Amino acid sequence: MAEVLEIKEHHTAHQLPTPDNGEGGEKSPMNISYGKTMMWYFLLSDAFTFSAFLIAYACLRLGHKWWPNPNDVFNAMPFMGHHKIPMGFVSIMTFILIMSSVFVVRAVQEGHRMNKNGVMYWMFWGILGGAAFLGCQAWEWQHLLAEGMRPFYNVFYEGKDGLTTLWNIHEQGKPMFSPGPVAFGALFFGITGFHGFHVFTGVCLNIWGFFATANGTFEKRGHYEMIEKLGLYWHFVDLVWVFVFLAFYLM
Amino acid sequence: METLHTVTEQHAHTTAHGHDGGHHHTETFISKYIFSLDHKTIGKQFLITGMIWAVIGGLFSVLFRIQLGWPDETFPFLERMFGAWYTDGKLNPEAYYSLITMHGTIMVFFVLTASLSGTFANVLIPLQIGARDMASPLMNALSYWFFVISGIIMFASIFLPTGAASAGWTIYPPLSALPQTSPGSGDGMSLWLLAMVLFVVSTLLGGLNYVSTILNMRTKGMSLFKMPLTVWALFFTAIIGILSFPVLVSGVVLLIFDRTLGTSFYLSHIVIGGVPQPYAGGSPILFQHLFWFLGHPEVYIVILPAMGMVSEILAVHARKPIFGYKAMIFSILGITILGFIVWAHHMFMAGINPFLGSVFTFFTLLIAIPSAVKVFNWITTIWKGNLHITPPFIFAVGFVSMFISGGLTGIWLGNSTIDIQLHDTYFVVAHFHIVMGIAAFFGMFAGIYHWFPRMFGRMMNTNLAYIHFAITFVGSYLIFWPMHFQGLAGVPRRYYTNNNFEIFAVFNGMNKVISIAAIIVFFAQFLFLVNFFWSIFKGKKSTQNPWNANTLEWTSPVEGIHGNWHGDIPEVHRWAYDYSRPGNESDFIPQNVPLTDKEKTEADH
Amino acid sequence: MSDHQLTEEEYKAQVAGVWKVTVILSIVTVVEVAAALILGPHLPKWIMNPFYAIASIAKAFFIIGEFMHLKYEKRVFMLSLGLPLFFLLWAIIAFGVEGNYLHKLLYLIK
Ligand code: HEM
Ligand SMILES: [Cu+2]
Repeated sequence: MAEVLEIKEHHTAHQLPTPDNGEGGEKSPMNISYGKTMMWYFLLSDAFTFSAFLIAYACLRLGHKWWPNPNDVFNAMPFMGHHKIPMGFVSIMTFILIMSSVFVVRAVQEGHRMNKNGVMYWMFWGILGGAAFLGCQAWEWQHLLAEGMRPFYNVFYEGKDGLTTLWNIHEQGKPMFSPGPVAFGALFFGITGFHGFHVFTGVCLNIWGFFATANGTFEKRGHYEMIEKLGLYWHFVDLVWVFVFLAFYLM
Repeated sequence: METLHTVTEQHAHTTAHGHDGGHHHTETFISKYIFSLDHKTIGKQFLITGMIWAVIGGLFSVLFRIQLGWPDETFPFLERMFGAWYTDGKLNPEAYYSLITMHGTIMVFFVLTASLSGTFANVLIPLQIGARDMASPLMNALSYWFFVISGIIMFASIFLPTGAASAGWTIYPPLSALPQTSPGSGDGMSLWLLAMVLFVVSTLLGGLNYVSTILNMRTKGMSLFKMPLTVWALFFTAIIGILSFPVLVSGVVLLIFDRTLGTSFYLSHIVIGGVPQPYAGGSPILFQHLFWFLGHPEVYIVILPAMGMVSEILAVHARKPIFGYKAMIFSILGITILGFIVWAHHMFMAGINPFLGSVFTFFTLLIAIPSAVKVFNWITTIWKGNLHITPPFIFAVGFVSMFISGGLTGIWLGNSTIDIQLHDTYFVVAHFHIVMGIAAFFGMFAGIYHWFPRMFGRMMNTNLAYIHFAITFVGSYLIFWPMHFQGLAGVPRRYYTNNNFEIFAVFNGMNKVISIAAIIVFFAQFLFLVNFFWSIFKGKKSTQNPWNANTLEWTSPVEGIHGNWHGDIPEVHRWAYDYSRPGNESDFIPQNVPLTDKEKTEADH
Repeated sequence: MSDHQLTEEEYKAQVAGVWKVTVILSIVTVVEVAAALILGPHLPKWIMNPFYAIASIAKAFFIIGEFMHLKYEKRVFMLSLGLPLFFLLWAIIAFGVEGNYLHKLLYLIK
């Protein structure tokens, strides 16, 4: 991004205009710097990507007579063996992501005060939260895979009275055709995977932001706008999760 | 906070060139012409890359037009030139499908989206709003290089042993989802999808940059409602791209999953060679919805920049203020909004809910309103003007002609009931080539002839331009007008040959005429190319303001300097359309000329 | 970027605001999950789903408004981000109608 190539030597000699405002020309009607404008509109664009996925999900789901009940699919918890705790694990994941978002807001706020150590401190926790979320997601995926779920194969089928029933591939063998609606697994892995990819990107970017802060890059620049932009991206990832959570775990 | 003391690379230019004599970048050939960060150079790069693509795309159309015009002849010389695409002097059916797919993809996306917006947004936005460069020159350069990489991949796919993608530019599944359905559905399709994802990255990098540049970098006095219509049009074009291309990405990603992971987003009830496949519960119509959610806005991405340039050019060369400046802006806004809610008019016959079809018919017909506003404003602008019949002007008029002819047939197609007969026939081909293909090309030519002096400091040859116009204009109507009649008679589009339908034999002669016209028009474009490249080096030197236009780009030095203006950027005092103002001795008043006392008192009332 | 140095009080208020929103988000999530577990099995989907949707949209407002700071930006900016979402609303309706229609089509062929 533009700021990377910043040149500092000149600014003492001339009263230079702010970067968000041409050369002392017309103000943006939005009153926001161009960097943040770009980040916001990029996120709007990305919101359309995710919405398209979720709307496709709605379309396919409405097209099906029967759909697995999330309470019966997502009910495992690490270290709990065969105890069924519906929604338990995913609630923890949600909470982790919210907290991670909060930590990054705190980093942004410290950035406003030019408090380098504060930024690093909160950024560190934010990164840790993101990584923990990814770890949880990995666990959840591998658990479902172990149960026999695949993007093209769904072991949760319509049992007696429409109840969601697990086809135990280890005991009952693997039928030729998917026992339950295939679209369920495809959508779940596809959309949570795409979200996880965003989380992963965000964690990488935040790690970069952490080290750039440590190196004093933003201190020298005189502002922490980059941390703000990273924060926007990170909150967006949290925001998307709210709707992924809604679509897959609640509805 | 100390924002006052911050500098971005943007302003580094200012200091390096405007004030700081002793501090110069050393520029090598590579940094100046290849990996340049200067918006004018990037614009030229987009333009020339687009020209290469247009020649390739045009050549493909000549090849399949030869097949359609003379389905029974053999062409050994073509076989010698194009080898594997031909057997015994005849074009192979698979190659035919690859050629129409690539033709559509190249023309719609690479030429009329990337190159048209890329060229003129880059060249014009900073110059017309009074900025030294784009908000982020680096992202701007990346946008171009992603376009190049995407292009290289698309180009490479043509040389695969199984051929390029062949499902049509709309890549409907199941043809695009199941590699076993046709040779082009294999690797060719995979590369197509990859190239398109990179293409979207390029569009987003560009679009975000254009939007934030227009919002943030305007010079003093350049309020939003003083901006030339070109900038307005490019602004909305960028917004449409930002909101619609991501949906294509979603559609494509799901398609990639269907191809590689065996998911069934778009597949159900598939039987191949008598064997039922495990795909279940998907819907190819879902893909069509996702595709056209981009696809329809996409046609406006293509046409809006041309509309903006034509508005500007008509005013300059008719020496009259644009008629209905604000109406023009709000009709662009109207088109933008309506463009997002009409997509399913491409799918009336695909098996959508018929009730939904009638809602989409209603929205679709509404688009005629802002479109008509624009057309009437263009006509009123040149009405009784002091017309300067220059190459940009005639091409702009050609644009208006094409847009009217093609827009009217859109209203036919927009009625779901009439579309039952017309869908997937040559009528549709005629409609969209005239309204989008040819019209956008005319807008592009008008823009190139008009801004060539600003891009290269020289003028293009006028006589060659007139000949170019005459052949292209007449030829285009010759190609596409007869297609309406074929379509009304039911001739289906995308067929390799109609030899098997005896009733269509009446069109054999017409098909030959169309093909001959297509070949002539294709070769006529070389007049333009020769003119273009010759003029870059040998054209007459341009004066500072060859068309006596008002906009800011004509105040920037002819030789095109880094940073666009020596010293301060001019301040803007008036709108861009003060032409033939009564009581003023010259017939134009540039935007940077301060208001006279009389004007000020007038403005107060 | 704010152009002035924050006073200590303003800073404290902002930090407090963030923690307040954190608590709200957590409570809404807990309510959602509890509803899904306790009421979900007994009430029909057409009651539960709108409830979840509204709760999620409320959460979204808090995240965008407070965490992403949009609440404090200019109104045009909010509108420029909010109005395009109406396209999505129409997409949801249209795709939903299509989904219901797909329901008929998919089970037509046995
Ligand atoms: C009054 C305005 C317009 C209306 C009502 C309209 C309506 C339609 C309809 C209903 C179709 C689908 C026909 C079918 O497949 O059966 C269609 C196709 C098409 N239109 Fe338009 N149109 C209008 C203007 C435009 C403009 C301005 C452009 C481009 C700049 C455009 C580009 C296209 C393209 C590219 C296709 C065909 C895509 C394909 O199937 O390959 N149209 N139009
Ligand atoms: Cu359309």
